[in-house]
Amino acid sequence: MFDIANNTEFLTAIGINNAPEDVKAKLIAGIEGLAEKKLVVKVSDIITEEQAEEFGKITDEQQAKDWLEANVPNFSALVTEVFEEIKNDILQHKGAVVGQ
Amino acid sequence: MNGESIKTQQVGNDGWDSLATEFAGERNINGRTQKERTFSQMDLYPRMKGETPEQYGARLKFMNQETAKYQEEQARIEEEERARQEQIAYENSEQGQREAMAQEKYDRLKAKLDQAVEEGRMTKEHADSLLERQLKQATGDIEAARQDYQDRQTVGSEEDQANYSEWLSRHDAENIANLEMTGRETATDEERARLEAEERAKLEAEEAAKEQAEQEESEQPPEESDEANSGDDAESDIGLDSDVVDKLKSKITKEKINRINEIDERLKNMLPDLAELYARNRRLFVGAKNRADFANAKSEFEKLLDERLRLGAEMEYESGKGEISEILQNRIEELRAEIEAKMAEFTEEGEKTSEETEAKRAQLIEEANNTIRSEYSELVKELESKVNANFLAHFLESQAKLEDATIDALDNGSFCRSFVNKVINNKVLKGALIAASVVGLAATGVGLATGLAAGSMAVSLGYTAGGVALGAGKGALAGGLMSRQDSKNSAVRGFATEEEIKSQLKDIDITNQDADTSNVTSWLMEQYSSANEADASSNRKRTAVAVGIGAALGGIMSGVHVDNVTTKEVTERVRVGTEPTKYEPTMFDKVNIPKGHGAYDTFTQMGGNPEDLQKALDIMHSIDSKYGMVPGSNGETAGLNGAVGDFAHTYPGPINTWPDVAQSYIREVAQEWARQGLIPSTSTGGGPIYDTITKTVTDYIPNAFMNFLTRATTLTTAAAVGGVAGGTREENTPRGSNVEQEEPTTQETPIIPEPPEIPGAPVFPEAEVATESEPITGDGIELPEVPEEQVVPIPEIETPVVEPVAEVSAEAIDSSDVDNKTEEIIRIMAERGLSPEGESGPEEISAEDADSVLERMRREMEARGIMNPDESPTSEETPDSIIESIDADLRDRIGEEGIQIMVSQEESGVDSSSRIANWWNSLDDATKRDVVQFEASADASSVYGRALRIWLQLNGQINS
Repeated sequence: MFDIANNTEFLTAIGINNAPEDVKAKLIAGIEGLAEKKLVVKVSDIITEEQAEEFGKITDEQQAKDWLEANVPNFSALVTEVFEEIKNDILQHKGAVVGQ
Repeated sequence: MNGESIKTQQVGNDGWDSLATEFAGERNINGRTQKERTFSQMDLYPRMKGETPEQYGARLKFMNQETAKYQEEQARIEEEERARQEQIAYENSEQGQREAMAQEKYDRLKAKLDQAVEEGRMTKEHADSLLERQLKQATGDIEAARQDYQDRQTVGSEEDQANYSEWLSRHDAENIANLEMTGRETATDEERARLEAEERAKLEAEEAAKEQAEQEESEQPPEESDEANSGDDAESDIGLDSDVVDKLKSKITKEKINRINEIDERLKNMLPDLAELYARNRRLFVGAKNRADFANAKSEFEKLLDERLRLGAEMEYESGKGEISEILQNRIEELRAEIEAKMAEFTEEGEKTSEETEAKRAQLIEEANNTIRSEYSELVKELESKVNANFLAHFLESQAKLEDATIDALDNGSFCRSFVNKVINNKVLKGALIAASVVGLAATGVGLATGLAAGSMAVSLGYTAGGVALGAGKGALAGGLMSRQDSKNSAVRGFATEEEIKSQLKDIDITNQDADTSNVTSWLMEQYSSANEADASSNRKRTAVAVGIGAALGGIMSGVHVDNVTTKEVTERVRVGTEPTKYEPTMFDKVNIPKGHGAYDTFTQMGGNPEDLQKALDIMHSIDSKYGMVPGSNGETAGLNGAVGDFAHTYPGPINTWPDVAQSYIREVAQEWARQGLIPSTSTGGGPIYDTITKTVTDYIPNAFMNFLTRATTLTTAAAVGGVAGGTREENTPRGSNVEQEEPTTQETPIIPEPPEIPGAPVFPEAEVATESEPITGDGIELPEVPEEQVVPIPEIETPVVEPVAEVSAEAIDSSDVDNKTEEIIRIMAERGLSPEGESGPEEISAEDADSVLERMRREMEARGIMNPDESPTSEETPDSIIESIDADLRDRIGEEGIQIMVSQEESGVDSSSRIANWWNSLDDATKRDVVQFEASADASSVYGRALRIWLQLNGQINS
């Protein structure tokens, strides 16, 4: 998956790389949560209902990841795409609001 | 009277002298004190009044008292007036205004702080602290102002006041002098001057600072004055930049807070609707209105979100700046104190010049400014970081809420998954299309079968078993028979051996189309008239031979389109879309064709030798290289996919319509096959390979091979078989009819000689020829005698020499001639005493009985489980009737495409096959089973949906 916590480029782009650790951690968690939700919506467009049902039975994270990578074409690229989308949204709104 | 003087007169002076003495006092006359008494007036006036001294003295006393009171009062009034005037003068003075401003500042701050405390924005303790600080400042300012004024007043003259500085200097000098007087060491003149200068500089600096503060204060709008302004003076004391000061201003208003709450509420209410639009907008076929609605809602949401984020950031920033302002204010105070302390230390270090002192102070001020700026910068960074973090947090929260709402909308089924399903299905279809080469190859077999099935059309026209019409008739019959091939009627199976075929047809001159036609016709007719044969098995075999022939004919008649593709294109066609593969031997290359394979089993069941099949393939391979053919895309068989398959795929039409190179190739292969004895040289079909292949319709490879083989085979009987192969390549032979053939030339017509003896070549047993009867060809060609032992007993049928049936010729026969030819055949049969019921004898069959003959033939064929050649789609059968016969539920499941396919009258071909395959793959398993069941029970001879039935047969869904 996309390792946002160690992606200084991403964190710098959205302006939290030098934030206090507790603040940074909370924001990273928020971003990851948002990315997961976006992935749910995108993957739902790709897999069938049967596949969704099958995926829903998986409880192990690694198995879930393996299943996604096996059943969702170009899953890794899709994940990266989602984070890029979030970053661009942040930068867009941030420019209009904070002027940075 | 005499001249005595008054003066000398003494009048009783005893009372008046003392009175005079009493009131003598001092008189202040014009500021001078007079102690003289003047008695004369006083003495005279009272005397004249007749007052006694005592009376006059009382009166004087009273007058003096009153006068004193008056004077005191007057003095007081004057004093008050003077003070008032002085006050007015002070208030109107610069210093007085400074005092007033300081007072006003204090009053305003107090009012603001009181309001902040009231509104809960600030604690009372904090407000009191700030107010006390301001009070101190204000008090200092007032005292300073008053002192300054006093100082100016002592200047004295107006001239001195106007030259205050000079006065100050003199004043300083006096101060210095006073200092000297107070115990200081007597300073030297120089020292005194230095001290004076220092004092003067200090005073001037303080004066200048105060003037600057007053200037700024006077420029500042009163309403902006707040606690932040309390630091203005302090800031100006240490010279902070204006931008720093500006940043300390904050405006957190109630209106902003209210607006934030309002937006939050709106955003929350917008989320569900926006999510719904979002989900709906992501469907495959979303209308323009939905798109517009979503775009508008999304735009509004984002605008609100941006405003919310901005307000939140401002709040955070402003509140942060407020905090920073307080922090900064405290630091200013601290820094100020530090400056003064350091200056004191500096001066105590020793005597310093004014310049040194001045420089030191400037340095400390600058350092303090830098400290403030640095600390403020860090504070601002921290504030901005906080703003950024809060912005992000709110942004993420709002986006997450939106995604949650969207997911909820999806889970509620508002999201149509048809697109997903289609994608999945498309993937399957894509996979199927990738394997289209397989499907396409199957088309070759389909093409063959189409031709076979096409025979039913001709059959429907009432052709007899003879199938008079060239090609069409035979194809029709064969097609009809072929369609019954592998049917559940086992009687159909187990067909004639190649010997029988050869025996019947080997002497047919393939160059003689007419003869061929007659021979074939007669022979076929014989087969169907074998109802009286004692050996039903033999009958069946003969039927099978007919089937085999029909297959060949049908193959020729198959096809819809013709492409003109060069060898190169064919080669490339093989490569296009496929990976060039190295040719690898396949099972067909091996000597032993795997058992269980349809071709193998059938072939061996017929008694054929698998090695013959292999030999045929080897021949093809060897010739492939000569023509530049390439291995097929799947490398199965050289030439099969690349050449044969492609040819069959590309040129389903008659061979003479193929490109030169293709024809040359196939003819060469056919000739070699004939030389090798693999196929009869003069037969219309048959041979071990051919028969085997024709029985195998389920494997696409054999089908392709079969198709090719069919064409190759026809070359050996060009003139005999439908008059197709013998034609020129320029002619585009239409299917079914109107076969116009030029006189085959030596080059054009493959005249296959008798196969030479080839060592190792399979030796086919002599064909079991017909009886001693006249050749049934009826074209004058006499068949060689067959050794008796080779004679296969057949029903004795007197077969008189049949006159050439001129009408039955190799010339163009279109459908319009069919009926005529049918009649003719019937007549001939009657003349020859042929009876479907096996009645022998030369008894004549009248023409009137011809119909009954035909009817008996039909019944015989039906009894044998083979299609009634006269069978045709019933008059009641229509597309609508077929549709109605399909279960409504099945109709829904197969869709419009499926309905079209099931009532299509198209004959199978490449296009039909692809269409069917695409549609088939879109069906679920249950629907497929239902379709198969329907088609399996359908009339196989029906023109409707036959392409589908053939396709199903070829793909093993239906047993053919």
